[in-house]
Amino acid sequence: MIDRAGRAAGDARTLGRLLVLVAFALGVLAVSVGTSAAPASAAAVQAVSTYDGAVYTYNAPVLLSSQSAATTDVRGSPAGPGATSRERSVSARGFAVAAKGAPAAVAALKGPIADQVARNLPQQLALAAAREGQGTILMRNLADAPRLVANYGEGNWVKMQYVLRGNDSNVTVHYFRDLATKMDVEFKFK
Amino acid sequence: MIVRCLSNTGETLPATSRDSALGINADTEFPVTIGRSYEVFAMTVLLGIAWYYVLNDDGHDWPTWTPAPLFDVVDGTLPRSWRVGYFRFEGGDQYPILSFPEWATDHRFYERLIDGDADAVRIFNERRQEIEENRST
Repeated sequence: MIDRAGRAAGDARTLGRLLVLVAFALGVLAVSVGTSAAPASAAAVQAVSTYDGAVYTYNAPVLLSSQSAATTDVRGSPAGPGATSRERSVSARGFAVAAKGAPAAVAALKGPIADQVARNLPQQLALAAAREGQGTILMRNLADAPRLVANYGEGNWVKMQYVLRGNDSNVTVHYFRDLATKMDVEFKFK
Repeated sequence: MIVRCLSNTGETLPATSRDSALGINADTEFPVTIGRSYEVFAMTVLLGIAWYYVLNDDGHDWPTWTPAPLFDVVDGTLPRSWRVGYFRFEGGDQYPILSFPEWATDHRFYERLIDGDADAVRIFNERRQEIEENRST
């Protein structure tokens, strides 16, 4: 009896130890899983964060460089290269005039005036010649100079005139020229 | 004031009065006819020479400045109403204008005239008629 009881007690102790061991093992396992899971989670956050950061870091310079470029357009000289993207430069310059705290009158200056379209061959020829820079100065110190500066940049703006002389009639083209950069804009027929 | 054309090319201009950026060089042909007389409606200075505003052969409604060295003065009498105006601008540019009062006192008058401003056109036509009538009397 005693032996059976003692064996039973021994089994119980063994079972208890096993349970303790299992519990310990589970605990260890849990801790192990926890600690291993934590870095994994952190790594995932880090990865996501890094990914997001990379995205925003990528976007930010784009936006900044874009804004910076617009500002540079405004402050910079109206150099020739800008002529290829005249519309964008124009709007940027117009914005900058207002942003610099210029008087409302200056900010309200008219925008650029589009070139007129030739409607016949003589006008096409005259316009082409004027666009090549032909013509003579018609006047300087223009009343329209503030608008030209606001839209195309600082410069010495004058009005030019080109006349295509025909047998029966002439075609006259007026346009503005910045003597500093030789940029010609706003061609129109008179 | 009446002037007669002696030459109509930039070749006869002093070298100092040529500026390719302004379209004034030796090859430039001015729309005036040699031997023909022109009424002068204003006078100014540019590139170191005098310039006459005349109604040239292009037939525009506004007078166009033409280098004075291309002309000889036939009648130097000035209209009684004429004034001398002197304009100064930012950057140091400055020049005189000798003409009727509305032009001599307002450097924007000519720009308005070219742009077809009704008042400027009316004034110019009145002054032109006045000059021509005084000459005929």
